[in-house]
Amino acid sequence: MTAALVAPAESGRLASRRSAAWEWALDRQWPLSLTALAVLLLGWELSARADRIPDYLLSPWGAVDGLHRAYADGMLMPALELSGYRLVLGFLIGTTAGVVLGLVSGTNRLLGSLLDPMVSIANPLPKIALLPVFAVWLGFTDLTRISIIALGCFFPTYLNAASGTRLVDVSFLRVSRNVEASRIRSFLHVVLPAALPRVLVGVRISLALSFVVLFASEIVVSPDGVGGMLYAGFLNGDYPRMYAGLLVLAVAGFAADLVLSVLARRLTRGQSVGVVGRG
Amino acid sequence: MASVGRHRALPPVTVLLSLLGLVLPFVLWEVNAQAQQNLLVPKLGEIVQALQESAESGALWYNASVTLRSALCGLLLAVVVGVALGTAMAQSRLLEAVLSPLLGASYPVPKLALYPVAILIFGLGTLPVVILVALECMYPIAYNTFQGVRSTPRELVRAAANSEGGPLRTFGAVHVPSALPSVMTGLRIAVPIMIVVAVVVEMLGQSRGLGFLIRDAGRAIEPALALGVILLLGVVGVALDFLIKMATRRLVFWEVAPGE
Repeated sequence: MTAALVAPAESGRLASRRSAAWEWALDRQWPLSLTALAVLLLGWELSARADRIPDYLLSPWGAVDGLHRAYADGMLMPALELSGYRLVLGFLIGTTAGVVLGLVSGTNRLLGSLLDPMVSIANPLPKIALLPVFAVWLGFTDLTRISIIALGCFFPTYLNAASGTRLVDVSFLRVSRNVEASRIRSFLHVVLPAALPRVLVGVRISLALSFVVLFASEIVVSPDGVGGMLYAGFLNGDYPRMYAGLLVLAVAGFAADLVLSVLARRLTRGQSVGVVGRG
Repeated sequence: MASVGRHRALPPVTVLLSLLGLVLPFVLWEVNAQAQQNLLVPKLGEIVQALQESAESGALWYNASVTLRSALCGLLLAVVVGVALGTAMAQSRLLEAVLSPLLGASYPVPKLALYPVAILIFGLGTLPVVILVALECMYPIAYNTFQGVRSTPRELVRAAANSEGGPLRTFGAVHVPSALPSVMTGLRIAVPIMIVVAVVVEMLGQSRGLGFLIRDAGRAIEPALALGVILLLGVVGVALDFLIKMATRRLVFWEVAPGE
C-alpha cells in the first residue's frame, strides 16, 4: 500500500495504461486469438522452411500458393461451381422442407402427432451412410448427392422448428385469440417471431452439416467437385492441390456460417436462444 | 411431449395418429417393395434376413466391434480434451480470449475434410478414425463444459473459498457438480456426431468397420444389407443416448430432468 503511494507517478500511469490495454484485449478477445493464430502460422511456416516437418504438412504459404495454382490452371473454378451448385440446392431443399414441416407440425397437433414419430424414428439413422444405397438407386449422379444433402439438412431444421413453436408464450396466443386474429395472422405475428431464433439455430446446424455431407458425397461417389479435387491431390501426392481444396472448404464453411449468423442477428434483433439444441 | 400449458390428457385421435406415424413408414416401404418386386428395393424381411446372414457369418459382429471401438476411443479422447479445454477456458480469461474465437471460427468448417491429412499423419489403421471422431466431437463437449463451469453460482465459489477449501477441493466440490449436467448434454450431442463421423471415414477409405460394410454392400448392389446396417446404427445411437440419459439421472440426481 505504502509502496504504491510512494512510487513515482510516471510508472504508476504506465502500469495502469498497460492493464487497460490488456483489459481491452481480453474483452474484445479477437486481438489475442488473432495473435495466437499468427504465432502458430508463423511457427508452422518457419519450421516448414527449415525442413523440420514432413512435406505433406504443407506450409501455410504453400497452401495459398497451391490455391493460386489451382485457380491458374483452371481446375478450381469449375470444381467450385459444381460443389456450390450441389450444396446450395441440397441445403435449400432440405432446410425449406424442414422449416415448413417443422412449423406446421409444431402448430397443428394432428399433423404433429403424425409427423413427430416418423421423424424421431428416422433421425438417429446416419443419413450420410445412405450414400451407397442412393448411388445404387439413382446412380453416381448429382441427384444422389443433392438428395443426401437435402435429407441431412431436413432433420435438424425440422426438430428445431417444431420445438421452436413450443417456445411461444401461451399468454400471447391467448391475446391474439382474444382479439380474434385469424389463425394465419396469429401464426405470422405470434408464433413465427417466437420460433424464429430456434428455427435459425436449426438452419445453422444444417449448414455445417451440409458441408460435411457434400465432402463425403464428393469422395465416396466418383470424386469430383472441390472434395474430389482435394482427394485427387491426396491420391496423386499433389499436396498443394489437396491443401487448396482444404482451404476452399474451410473458408467457404466459415464464410457461409458468418453470413447466416449476421442474417440471423438481423432477423432476431432483441431475441436470444440459450444452449444450442440437439441436432 | 405435450404442448405448453395443456394439462388435459391427450385426446385419443392424437394417440392413434402417433401410432400411425410410427407404423406408416414401414408399411409404405413394404407396400412399395412388394409392388416393385425388385432387388434394389428390398422388402423388410429381406433386410432382416441380410442382417441375419451377415451376423451368422461373423462379418457383422467383427465390423461392428471395429467401428464401436474406434468411435468410443474417439469419443473418450474428445471428452478428455473437450472437458479440459472447456474448464480451462472458463477459469482463465486469457485462454477464453485466445481459444473461443478460434473454436467458434473453426466450428462450421468441415473437419472431415482433414481426412487425407489424418491418413498421411496417422497411417491407414483405425487411428485416423479415432482422431477425426475426437476432433468433431470435441466441439460440443468443450462448449458445454465451458458454459457449465462458467454458470457455477458465484455464492458457492465464495462460500468454498471462505471455508478455506483449497482450489482443487473447491473445484471438485463446487464446479464439477454444477458443470456436470451441461457436460452430459454435450456428450449427448456428441454421440450422433461420433457415429456419423466414424461411419463416413470408414466409408471413405477403411477396409473394415460398418462404414466399409455399407459401402461394400452398395458396390455389390446389395441394398438390403446396407439398409440393415444403417438401421442397426440407428439402434446403436438410440441405445447410447438412452444410456447417457440414465447415467445423467444417476449422476445428476439432484436436478429434475429438463423437459425432454
